[in-house]
Amino acid sequence: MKLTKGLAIMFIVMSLGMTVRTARAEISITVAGTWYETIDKTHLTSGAGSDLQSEMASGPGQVLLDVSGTNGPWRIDIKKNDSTWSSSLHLHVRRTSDGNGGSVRGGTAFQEVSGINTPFFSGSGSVSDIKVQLKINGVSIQIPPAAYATMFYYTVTEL
Amino acid sequence: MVKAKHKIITTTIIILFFSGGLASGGNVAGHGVNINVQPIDEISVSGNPRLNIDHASAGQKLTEATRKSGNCAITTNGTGKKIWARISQSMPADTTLKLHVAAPPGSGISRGNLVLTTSAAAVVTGIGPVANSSLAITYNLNAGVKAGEISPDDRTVTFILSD
Repeated sequence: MKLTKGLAIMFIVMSLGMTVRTARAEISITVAGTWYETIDKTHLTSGAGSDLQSEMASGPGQVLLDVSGTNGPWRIDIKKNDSTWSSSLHLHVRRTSDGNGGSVRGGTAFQEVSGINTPFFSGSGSVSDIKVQLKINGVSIQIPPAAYATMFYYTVTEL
Repeated sequence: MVKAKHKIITTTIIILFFSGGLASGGNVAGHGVNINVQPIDEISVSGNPRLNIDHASAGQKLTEATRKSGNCAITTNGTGKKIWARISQSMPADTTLKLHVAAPPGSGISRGNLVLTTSAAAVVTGIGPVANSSLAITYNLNAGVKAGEISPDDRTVTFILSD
């Protein structure tokens, strides 16, 4: 009898816990996509004797962002964390679509991404498939052949 | 003992459910950016020189023929590169073909007038990284009297940019 009572209490508590977890929605962001770029002789401006194109861009929807779990205003900040990088290479990012649902604003002009969180764009409500384009400049033959890697981080904050 | 054990289990479950650390997605997400820079060693040359030896002063050697013709264009993102040159087949007896290629300013050293053979020789060393489209090329043809009269003939000079 006491064992049954204990199990009943435990069941009720578990149910309450699951209910509490379901009702508490948190704003979240997900990212799809990455950018791989190979720079070789095809990027010379005019063959032997010429330098590399100084700037290259990804496709306009290279990366997709989803913001979910909110009905209110929010902001996305962006930063990068270099693994193996050259200080001569500079990365930029811009938003190229409004996505689906909610609303978004700002971030449509290329801005440089640094190691410090910087406002990228803002919006309201849940929005999916926001397209993002990346660009690199500072490319030249003075950059030694190597694999250069960094990570972009997008942080969404409810306002 | 059994009663205490049940209390511990129940308490543990309550703590786990209200700890609230299992949010899906999270407010930070990221992706990689990978830029792969390949080694680049590109060279091209222009020019199609004709060299004639048809003059000598009595008692003197045959007057050599020298001609500046065309340019060498190079692009490399490496270091310590060399321009190598060779000819397609040996020169006639008692004749030599020499080549001089100017080094890119500030990057490389020209080895001066080098005799070309069918084996590649480094004519400029220590190059890179550099892009230069106007490295002057000078050809020099020399013949001794024992060469005799030689009908017009062609040689192809091959230029290579590498280690």
